[in-house]
Amino acid sequence: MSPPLVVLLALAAGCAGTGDDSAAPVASRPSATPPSPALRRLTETQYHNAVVDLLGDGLVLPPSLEPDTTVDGLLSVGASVASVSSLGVQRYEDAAFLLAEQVVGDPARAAAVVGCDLDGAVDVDCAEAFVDAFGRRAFRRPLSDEERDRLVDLIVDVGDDAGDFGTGIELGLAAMLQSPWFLYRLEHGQPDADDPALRRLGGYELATRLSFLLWNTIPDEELLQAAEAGELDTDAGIRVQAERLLADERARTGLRNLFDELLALYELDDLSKDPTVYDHASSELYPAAKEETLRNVEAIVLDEDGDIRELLVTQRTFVDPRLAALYGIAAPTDVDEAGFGEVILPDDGGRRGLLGQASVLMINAHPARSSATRRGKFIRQRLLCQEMPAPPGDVDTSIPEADEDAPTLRDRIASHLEDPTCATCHELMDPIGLGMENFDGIGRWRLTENGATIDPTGELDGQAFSDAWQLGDTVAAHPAFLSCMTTQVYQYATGHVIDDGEEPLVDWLAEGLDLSGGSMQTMILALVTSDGFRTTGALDSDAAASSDTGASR
Amino acid sequence: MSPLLFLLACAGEGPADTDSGAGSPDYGECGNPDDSWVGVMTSVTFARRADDGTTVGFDLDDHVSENGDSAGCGHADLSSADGVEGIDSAFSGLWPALAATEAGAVEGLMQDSITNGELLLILELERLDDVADDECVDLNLWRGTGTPLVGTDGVLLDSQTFATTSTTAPSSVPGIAVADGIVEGGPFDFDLPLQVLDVELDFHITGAYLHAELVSEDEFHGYLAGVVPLEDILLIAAEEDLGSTADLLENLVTLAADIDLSGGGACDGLSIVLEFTGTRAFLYE
Repeated sequence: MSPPLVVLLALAAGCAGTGDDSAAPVASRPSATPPSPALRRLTETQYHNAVVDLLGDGLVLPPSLEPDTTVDGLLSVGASVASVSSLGVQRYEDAAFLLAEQVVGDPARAAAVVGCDLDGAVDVDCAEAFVDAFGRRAFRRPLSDEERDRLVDLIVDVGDDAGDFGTGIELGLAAMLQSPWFLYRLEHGQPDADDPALRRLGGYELATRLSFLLWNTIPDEELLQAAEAGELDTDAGIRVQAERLLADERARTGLRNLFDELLALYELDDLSKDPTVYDHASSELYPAAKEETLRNVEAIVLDEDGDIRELLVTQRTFVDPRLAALYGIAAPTDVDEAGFGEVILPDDGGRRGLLGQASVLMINAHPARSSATRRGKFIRQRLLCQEMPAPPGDVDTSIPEADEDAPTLRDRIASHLEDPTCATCHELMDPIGLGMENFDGIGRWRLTENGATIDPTGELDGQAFSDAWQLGDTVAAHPAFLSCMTTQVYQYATGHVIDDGEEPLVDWLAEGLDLSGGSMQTMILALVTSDGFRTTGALDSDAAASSDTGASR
Repeated sequence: MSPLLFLLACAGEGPADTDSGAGSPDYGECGNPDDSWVGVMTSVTFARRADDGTTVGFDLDDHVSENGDSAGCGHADLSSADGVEGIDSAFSGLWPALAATEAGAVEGLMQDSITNGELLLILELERLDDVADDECVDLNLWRGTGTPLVGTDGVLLDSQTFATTSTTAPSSVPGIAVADGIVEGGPFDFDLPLQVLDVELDFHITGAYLHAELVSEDEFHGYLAGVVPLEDILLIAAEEDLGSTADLLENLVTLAADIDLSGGGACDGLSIVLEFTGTRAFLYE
């Protein structure tokens, strides 16, 4: 049995070994004590994905919803702490009616969504069947009798008043689409009989967690049925469903969203470079750069189930003609309909891996110039999960203009590293970011800056590197890299910043990621069967209930 | 045989005048055919004459003509800024007059044609080992196809990849040299497609020579000289939309014709020099 497979089985089973002497040692799966549950609002992307799943493709989607926010750089964690403004509530209501109107106004779509003819008088049986079926998917659980009756009554009363069944359906549909049960993920679970500090998530809650983690949308019917049948109550049952979801094409959507957040690629959506400085910086460049990075992630994590560290050192990438021009390489001939094709970057080109991709290089730069500080901060925060304090509010963060004495960025930011006030933080970031100075503010390769040769050498936590090419190796081999990837996926999956009570589990998952050869799929399968994914912390009311119970005894 | 026809018959030999001679080393020793450099012309303009009357170009008919010289159709040849005599560039004398008329829009239209992909002139140097000095390279001038990428400055982006027309072979000159970053080669024929006043025209340029200077791996400039049949230019004059300019154009080019293109003793060709700038590119494999 190959070591990765052994590790995978061991991780998923949470056992200490398999009896095979060649198996890598894997400690018992630690328990975890997550914090108390929080309401997780659907992100804008999740809302749109869910709407398409529920109502079909081709709808005019709401132009704007309550804006997403990030916590620890993740929208998925921000969704757990964000409140909704009164304007946001209005937007959700407008969105619900916008969508419901389109459904009812399109007979073919209405038939597919509602399941019966909307012309004519109110059809109570149809209304009941619609509420049962649609409500179950939208709320990701069966409706209670009370919820069902209230919605059916609404549809029937409005339909009767208007003399039009469609009007009733429209209002009922809009009601469900603005219900907190649709807009929020409620993951409260039930008190754990064995551990008062925990609440164990139910099957439907786990189905929702799994689906949003792996597909970034609501569960499909098979997953809901698995929840209904109690199959998600066991490790094996969760694993079966998780493997099914990972093997599905929709896992690409989920994985892309995961890395969109992990690497802050969403910043490309609003990025703008100075067109007078960068002639390649057209509006088409930003989505192309994002696509390149996400295709690399898809290839390594899903298509090959390869080592996530490859992301930092691979010479294989995916470009369209615009990116090929930016990189100074011939565009691929074998391309898909989006114009992207696979290329192998040249050995002597200086560019490879994530740190050589335009997405990362553009995001972590200024509009008209590169930034060693931002690039160093990206590596520290996003790839190594190290805290970087924000600069004091009253400090001047500008750097001098280039001149004969200080032609390169290394020369110009020397003051950061000499001034003790600045050096404390900048020593952690700038020397790393300077390693990427052979790439300008949009990721074009260069050897000189203002006529002076760029020195891209540096050091990361005691490991010297000669340039960005070697920096990729250094980050990939850094002990914090796999741990950081694990931490970020864990936080993305659970919607909260990890608590002290979860660190042993996250460390164990990271160790497993290493032992499995960097297989993110293996780590994710281990994660979804762990207590960290299947439980939440106790509610305040649990303690009160517990004391009440004790008192009554 | 006219000098021009003689030149046309001697493909592969260096141009008759100019800055540097071109050797003809053994084609088989030119190096790896996979080592090529490609550039696309990002701007093409008509060559002008300097205030002192000098201009760029080649001695296309291998004859230094004086005024009234019948071998030069009565027109005196020009000199280059560095003293080379016999430069044939009749059109550069016409251009100031034409530029003041509707025909003056042609340069702008040429630039539009470049950015919209209708006029993609791609220079390829095959078997190039060193952009500064290489004793033997093969020069190809391709017509590219497709919609090019245009930068935020309105100019074709560097390093983009082009397809070439499947129906047109490149104009080629094998076995020429690059010296100090300069390559010269000819003669060859090629078609210069132009869209003028909604009419698509192909100028058939014959006996052409090219001079290109590779400023760096990413940038080049130079000029391309050849002879355009008078009849091609008169096609423009025949366009009704030109109005009175048509007569002016017809008269000017007929009088300015300086090359006996057909070899029959008639002055039926007009020497023309195009200056260009360019940037590095790639060809789809």
